[in-house]
Amino acid sequence: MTGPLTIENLSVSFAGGAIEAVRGVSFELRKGEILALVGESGSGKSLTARSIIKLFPEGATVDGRIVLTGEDVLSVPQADLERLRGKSAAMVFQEPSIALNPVFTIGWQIAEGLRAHGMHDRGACRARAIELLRDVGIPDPETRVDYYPHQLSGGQKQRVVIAMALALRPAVIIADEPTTALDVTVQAGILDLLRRCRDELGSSILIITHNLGVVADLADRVAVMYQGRIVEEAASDVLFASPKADYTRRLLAAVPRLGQSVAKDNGCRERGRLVLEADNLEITYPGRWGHTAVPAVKGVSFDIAAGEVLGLVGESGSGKSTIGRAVVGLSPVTGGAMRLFGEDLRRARGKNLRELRRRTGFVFQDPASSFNRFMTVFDCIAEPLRVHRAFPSADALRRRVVELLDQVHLPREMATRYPGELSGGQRQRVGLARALALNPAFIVADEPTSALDVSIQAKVLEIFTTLQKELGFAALFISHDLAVVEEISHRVGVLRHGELQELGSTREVMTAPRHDYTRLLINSVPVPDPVIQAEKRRSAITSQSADSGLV
Amino acid sequence: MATSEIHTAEASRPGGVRSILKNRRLLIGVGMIGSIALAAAILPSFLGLDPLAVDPLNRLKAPSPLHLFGTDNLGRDLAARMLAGASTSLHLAAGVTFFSAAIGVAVGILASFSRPLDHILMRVCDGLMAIPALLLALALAATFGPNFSNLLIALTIVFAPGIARLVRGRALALRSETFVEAAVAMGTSNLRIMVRHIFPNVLSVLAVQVTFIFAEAIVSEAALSFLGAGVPPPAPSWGNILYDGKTVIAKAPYMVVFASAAIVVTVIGLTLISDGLRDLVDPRTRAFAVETGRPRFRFFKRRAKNGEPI
Repeated sequence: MTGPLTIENLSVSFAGGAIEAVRGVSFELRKGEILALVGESGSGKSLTARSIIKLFPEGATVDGRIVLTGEDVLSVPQADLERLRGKSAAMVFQEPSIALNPVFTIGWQIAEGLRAHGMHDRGACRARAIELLRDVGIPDPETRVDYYPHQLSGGQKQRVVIAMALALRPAVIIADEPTTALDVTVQAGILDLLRRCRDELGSSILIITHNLGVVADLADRVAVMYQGRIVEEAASDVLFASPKADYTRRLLAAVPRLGQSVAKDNGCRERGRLVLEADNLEITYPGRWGHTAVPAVKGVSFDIAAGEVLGLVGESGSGKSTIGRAVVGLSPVTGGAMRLFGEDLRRARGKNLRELRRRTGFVFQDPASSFNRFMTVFDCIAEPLRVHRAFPSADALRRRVVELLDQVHLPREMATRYPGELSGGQRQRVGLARALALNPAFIVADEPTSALDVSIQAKVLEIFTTLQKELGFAALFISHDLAVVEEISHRVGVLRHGELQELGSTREVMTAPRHDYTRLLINSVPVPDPVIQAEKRRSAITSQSADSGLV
Repeated sequence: MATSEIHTAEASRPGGVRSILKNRRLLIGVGMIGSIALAAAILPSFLGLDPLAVDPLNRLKAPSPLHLFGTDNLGRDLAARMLAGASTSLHLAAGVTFFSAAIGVAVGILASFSRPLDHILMRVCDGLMAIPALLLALALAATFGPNFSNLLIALTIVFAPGIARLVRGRALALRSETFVEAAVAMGTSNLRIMVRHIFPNVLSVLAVQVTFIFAEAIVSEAALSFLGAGVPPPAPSWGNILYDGKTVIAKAPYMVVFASAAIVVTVIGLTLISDGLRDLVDPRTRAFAVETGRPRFRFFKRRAKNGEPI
């Protein structure tokens, strides 16, 4: 029996075949199966997925056969293609806030698919939209159906996008990184929803992701893509247990895993001089005309000793970045106290503030936008040295920059290039070099690896840890990724809605969390191991039923 | 975001000579303006033309080998006057453009750095922009007397507020960009941020606007001279040639024709330059232009590096 989707020898190339993005990809999606397509940026996985509903970028040359519910997508006429899209295969996009049109209600948007496929009765459309919203777990769908996208949270929006995909009960759902833009606790809910789509509606799902944890949680089978080819295809428990291809092994090794990093010698360790102290810290963004002030951080107290790395984890909007920015004065401290090197940041002005900033380095999240595109890599790294006139001679300055490039493992020739010409990982290393230029005693790293692929992330983290040991700077490491934080920090603080829920040594917090929220956070992280994930799911179901039993 | 990142990177790449050479509009525009400027600079002394030499016997003569463009109502050689007029017009427009750009950039960047200053400066700009440009220039020229430097000041006052507004908008957007925050976080002084980080990044929008201002200055000068509030006679400018030609349009239509043609050609040349510059600096139109040329390659690069979400 053939499944709803078969791809045979699909090749997508550009520039008349000079650049091959997808090379001879073949796979089959069986009925009621969840197949994961895994790979890093540029591996051709998204392009493969888009080919299924013939959404090509301009100028693509396509070869091969894509059979979707018995019809060859690549050769059917336009009218048939429109019928196939939505009815046979529907797409769930990565970023729910962009995938929804802000000027229409969600009910209207769900009904649009129905209208396009010949359902014209308004009452029926609305009823179906409400039903779909209920199916995807939106509470109170009768009211929410008239909401506009901005009235919903990110997770709810993604549920609406899934509802739109489900509207015509397609045989195949293509989900392109459906949870990448979401927090872990929300991600868990969306993954459950996708699983339910399969279990209850019998849809086949093709999920594209770079997150191996998601794969382990959801997929029955996995296809690993690398440079446009499928390098390995196997059932997911087989793939995780004994990966065959070299690349798969490397990929799996690069994934930071919770609870597996080497325990650090902390806790009992002597803590030296305090570098940063936050005492009942409050940060409130001032309200503008007619808006109330928004408190971003509420009564947070922590401290960082010299040579210590404090990891700050939390979901989006938890105030973790705000704290990091406050350290260098990019956000105002409005209450409590924050002392950097013993100096109160609320009082620091002019020369003092400059001096504090000289002793603090900052690594930004997005390496693409954190450099002036008119400056070469050399100038970018030399900028802090020039600003603080750290080196009298141009020669000494040059030597220092070269030394920094060596420290972050970048070839010296890169100095003359522009940031835009480097890859994400290289750029982030330039960012690290820039932060380290003045030999700071303290570094704030705001999600430094969240924009990078796992294998590149592993490399950047390795450089960071080595340099931290070598140079002994203290650091505030902000991340949403628990595994990364665990790997890198001595102590961990967990933030939620601007309040510090838990603070303790990494081992304590990760193995024996005291706070419910920490536990939820840790449990929500999908582990790249299907066996563990299945177990987690079972225990979650039993505890849920136990809960409902009590009620 | 990912796509714009790659394009801005390409736009900033040094050795963009090839992309300039591919930009046909820019080349044609530069060629047109360049040859006018060159002719105005070299030809009069080379051919020994005197724009002020009056020859009452040969008034309003049609174009002939002796007087290529004919003569005007006082018997002055029109070719000489056209060339001298070109020199006046281009000098004036270049001066106006330079000063209004300098003032506009300074005011715009300053305003983006201080809220109170922003309110004051922008209200002043609003006030100036509320008055019709030509009327303001006319009033200023009438008050201070029509001569070259007053005309320069008048037109600069007219054009500077627009540039200031534009630069301020761009600078405000830049101030919230990460690289500017990075500069703040490393303890960079405000002045250095303005010069090193903000200024180079506003240049792209400025470059396009400046060519428009140049073209507009030429037209405004011609209009003012035509109205008698511009370059005072007997000094030639395209505007006073038009003015002189107006009265004798039936007898010697070529005067008006040549002067208008010169203005039109110059403005078209400048518009072409500005179009070309925009293609060069604006990532979006640039992407489009490049895609039509070498579509697949460019598109692929964009996907390969950044097509995959992370």
